[in-house]
Amino acid sequence: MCRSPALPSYLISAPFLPLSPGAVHAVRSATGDRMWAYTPGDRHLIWSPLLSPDGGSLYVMSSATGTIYAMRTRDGSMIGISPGTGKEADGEVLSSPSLGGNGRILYVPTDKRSAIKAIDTCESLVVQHLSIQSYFMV
Amino acid sequence: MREREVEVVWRSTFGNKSISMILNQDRYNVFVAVDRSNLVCLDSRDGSVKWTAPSLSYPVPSPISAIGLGPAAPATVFVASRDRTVRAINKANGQVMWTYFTVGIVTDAPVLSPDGYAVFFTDNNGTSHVQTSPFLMVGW
Repeated sequence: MCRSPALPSYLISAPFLPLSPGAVHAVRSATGDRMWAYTPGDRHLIWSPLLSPDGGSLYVMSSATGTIYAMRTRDGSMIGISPGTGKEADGEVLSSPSLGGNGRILYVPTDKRSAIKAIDTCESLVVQHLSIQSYFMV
Repeated sequence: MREREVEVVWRSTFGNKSISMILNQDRYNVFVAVDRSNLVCLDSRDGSVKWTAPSLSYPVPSPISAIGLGPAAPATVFVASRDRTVRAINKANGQVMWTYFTVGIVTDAPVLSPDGYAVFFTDNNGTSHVQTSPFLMVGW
């Protein structure tokens, strides 16, 4: 476990602080001990990680490219990467992805043509772009 | 679908902005993350404050709650904070059980494995975004 001291909150956005390389952390819930940490070399990891229904796989997304990293929860080893093509092509990722009921299809909402991208997690392929007319207007 | 009138059962006011809340699976505790200060546990029946977790800075939206399995459950709430920490907090009294420090900022709620054994989260270079993660309501 990293033992560095907590930073005062007013320093959080200070420019001289080292930037995180962006990492995924697995911690024992009872003790706070680190089980593993994986650094994919992407500083733009966002949203909460997404767990598969059986808890065996973990999906993490990059806001910069739309890339999705899939890893094994037991040791952090990589299962696969679904490369994104960036905001210009794919649009900005709007929210955390969701898994379909069978745990196989990953749905990623983007703002490109208000689409939802469906990714087959077994094949690492985009299988469908589901277009919707507009944002959810209330 | 028919519209129904709803009634405010109780109202609880805090000094700062409330940024998220979650109803615990026992339905008797409501956890509220309050901007720039604390995590507050309310009694869902009357809105009274049960405890306030000390020294949390900028908690991120949606603290999560253990789900009744595993070594840490059902006694723990896990809270990420923008001061580069993730904390485990005792549901009963608000005491911090452990603190995990990160290099980057954890901007979203941790997730708990189905068996309750592990907590997963990401840190990054402080990338911010507008939307918040959906609340996790277990047993609702």
